[in-house]
Amino acid sequence: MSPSTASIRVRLTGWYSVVLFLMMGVYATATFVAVRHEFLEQLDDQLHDDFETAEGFLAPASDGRIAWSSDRHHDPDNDEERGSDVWSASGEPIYRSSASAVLPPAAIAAATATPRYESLVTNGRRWRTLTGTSLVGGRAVVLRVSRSEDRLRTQLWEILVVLVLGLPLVVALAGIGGYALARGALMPIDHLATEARRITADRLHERLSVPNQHDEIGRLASVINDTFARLESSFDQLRRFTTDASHELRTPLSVIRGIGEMGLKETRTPAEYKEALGSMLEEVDRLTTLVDTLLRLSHGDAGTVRLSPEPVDLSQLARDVVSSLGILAEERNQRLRVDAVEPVSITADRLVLREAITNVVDNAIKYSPRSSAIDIRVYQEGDHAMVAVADEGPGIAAEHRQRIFDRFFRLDEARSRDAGGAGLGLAIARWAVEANGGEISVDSRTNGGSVFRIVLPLRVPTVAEFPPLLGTGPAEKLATGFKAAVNELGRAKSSSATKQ
Amino acid sequence: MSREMPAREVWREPRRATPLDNVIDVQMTRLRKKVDTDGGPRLIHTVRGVGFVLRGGEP
Repeated sequence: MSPSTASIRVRLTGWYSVVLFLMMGVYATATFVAVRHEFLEQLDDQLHDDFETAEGFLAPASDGRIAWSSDRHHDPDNDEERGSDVWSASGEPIYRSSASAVLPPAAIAAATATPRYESLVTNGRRWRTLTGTSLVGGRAVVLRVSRSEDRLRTQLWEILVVLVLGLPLVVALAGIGGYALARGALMPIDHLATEARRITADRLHERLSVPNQHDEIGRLASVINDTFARLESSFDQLRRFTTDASHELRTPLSVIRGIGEMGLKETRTPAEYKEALGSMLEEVDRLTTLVDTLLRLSHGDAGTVRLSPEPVDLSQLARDVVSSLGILAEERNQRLRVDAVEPVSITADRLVLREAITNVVDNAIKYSPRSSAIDIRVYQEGDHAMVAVADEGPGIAAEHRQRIFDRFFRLDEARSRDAGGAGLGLAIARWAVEANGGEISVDSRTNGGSVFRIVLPLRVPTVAEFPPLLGTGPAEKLATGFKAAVNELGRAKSSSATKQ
Repeated sequence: MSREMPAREVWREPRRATPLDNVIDVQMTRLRKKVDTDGGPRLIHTVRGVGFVLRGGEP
């Protein structure tokens, strides 16, 4: 069925009327059949009474013949509607009333002691008859009483007319009533539509009015209002993001411009030019990193980042991150403590997850005071793997905890800029964790620091056994890499020394 | 040597990210402390915006 263009109330009324018509039709038919049956039964009862009355009119006359002697009160003779006929057992007519004279004679042979009902049609008129034998003075006669069905037919016809004409009338009236009801019931929806249309992107703060939030319309309005609220918050987020991103991109650009202008103002020494170009390149670098990060985040939003899940030992991953970032903590005289001995195996994209942990740990190092301790704990809890990074930093006020994972959100503008961040580290971390089906949250510790918790689903690795970790850990790699670099340096130093 | 080189070769990271940049800088500072001992010629130079260069003799 193709979607109807008619409004709900028209369709509702249509269906309602059709159903009502069918129901009323069945009802009317049943009524008519019952009435007709009842009428026919009454007619037969009357015939039965007539039969008994007629029997009373028969009496043997003085000459030995049976005679018909109706009295004045019960004279059926002048009645056009009914008649009585009497025959002798040999078929000789004894009495025939005028009305029933048109009827064919009764079949004498078929007449029995038990009265028999019969319908006859003569000259287009229907008659109902009752035929039976009766003993009058010891002699059997055949007696037939009959009544015309004319009056009964007329009555039935009138009832039929009333029913047939009344049916559409009733359905039409009910349809009008139903339409009015449906209109009344659906009116609030029209209101909602009008109100909802009024709320555009510029007026997202407006809400639909909810007259009664417990009825169906009220619930609908509440749901729509919730949607508007979410829409508004996404819009706000987007607006904020755009503003922040423009701001972040502007800053390096204006620095580059400033350096260029300074360089051109007067003639400088080659060293000064080099310095200026270096500064510009640094800013370009910063800009590139920022744009790269934003691109990655927007790819993440668009869902175009393809993850390659593999079995990952979360403990091993945490130890890798710590060994790689440990040097930063060392510089600040902080202690990085790792409690990740038991292997916790999950299925995740190793690189993306590593990025998440790296950003959270780096964040902790950056914002914790010198000489404090940072605890990293990896453990399994139920069917979840947990990474908890606890620091002794200043903590995060409750009202900021939701927004701390937002892009460009900074608690302390001046300080974090010094630390070299653009306010994207935790946003990346959140994206990376959520891409792997997990959640990230932050809590305050009783002693003032914060705890970042990464919760990841503990999926059973599809590979029965972990593949042996390729080569050695990053710490070792770092060591060998630097050993090679130092060797090279040593060679260069000696060669330059020989040159001199 | 740009910062990308150690990032790729030592840490096996396909991208450069802020934490890693800081790590590389700190490692280079330490390396310099070890290599450029007092009195000797400076060998490791930072070229701003580019990376590091190993060069004897002139500043």
